[in-house]
Amino acid sequence: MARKRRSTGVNVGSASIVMIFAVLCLTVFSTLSFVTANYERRLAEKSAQAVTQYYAADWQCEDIYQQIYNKLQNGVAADQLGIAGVQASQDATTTILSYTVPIDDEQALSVKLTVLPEGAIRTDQWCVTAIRQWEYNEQIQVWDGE
Amino acid sequence: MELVVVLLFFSICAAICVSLFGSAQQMARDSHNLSSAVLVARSAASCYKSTEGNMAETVSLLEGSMEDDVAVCYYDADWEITKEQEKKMFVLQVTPTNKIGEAEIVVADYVDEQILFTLAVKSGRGGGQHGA
Repeated sequence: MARKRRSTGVNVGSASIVMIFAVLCLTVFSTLSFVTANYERRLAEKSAQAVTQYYAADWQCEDIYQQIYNKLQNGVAADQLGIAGVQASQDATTTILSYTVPIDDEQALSVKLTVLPEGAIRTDQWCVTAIRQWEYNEQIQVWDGE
Repeated sequence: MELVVVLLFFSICAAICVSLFGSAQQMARDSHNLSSAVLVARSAASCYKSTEGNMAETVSLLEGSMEDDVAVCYYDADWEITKEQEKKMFVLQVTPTNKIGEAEIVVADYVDEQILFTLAVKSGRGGGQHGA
């Protein structure tokens, strides 16, 4: 007697299994490549923004420097410049001028200039400094067995 | 019937995934170009500042050429400096403004003239010691 083949309703053959595997692989790899490319783009944009912000701060520092230079040229005393943000401190023979321009929330461009007795300006510092102080955590939480 | 459904479903999924691969490749290429544009613009800004705004010295440091008072430097697809017309893919321009010591740096796609990155730079410090 011939056996009658019963249909289960959903026919899942080897072609379907291979297709599901291929589609899964394609989806995983395409999603991974897209996510990686997106992170690369964000990193590149952040880098571009950081460079733009640095040169904007540098521009402002150059502006202040120019103002200081012009005032000194006009015979204004180094400790009486009256430029906003510029702090003056007197040394034995020289005047030290310092000012800071923020780059972003974390960093600032700090400038320190020395006005020499003959009236020349020497740039002692023109560098990026951290605005906020680092808070060091000196405690390590380890499992004490309880 | 099953094979037809499988083929239809696979072709739809494959089309979506291939478009995703394509946009990922385009995005990666764009971000690489932006990173390289930022790098050459920074380099040009450093050259401009180190020469105190002297365009002739800046163009000499950049290994470029002067075109109508604008320092120009061409790059190929791998961001290597090139002077061959057919290899030119990107261009860096350092344009001095009306004020002395100020310049605008523009990095653009040479073929479709799309601007990739711009930077305004000022050089007025005058080296380590500025005589009053």
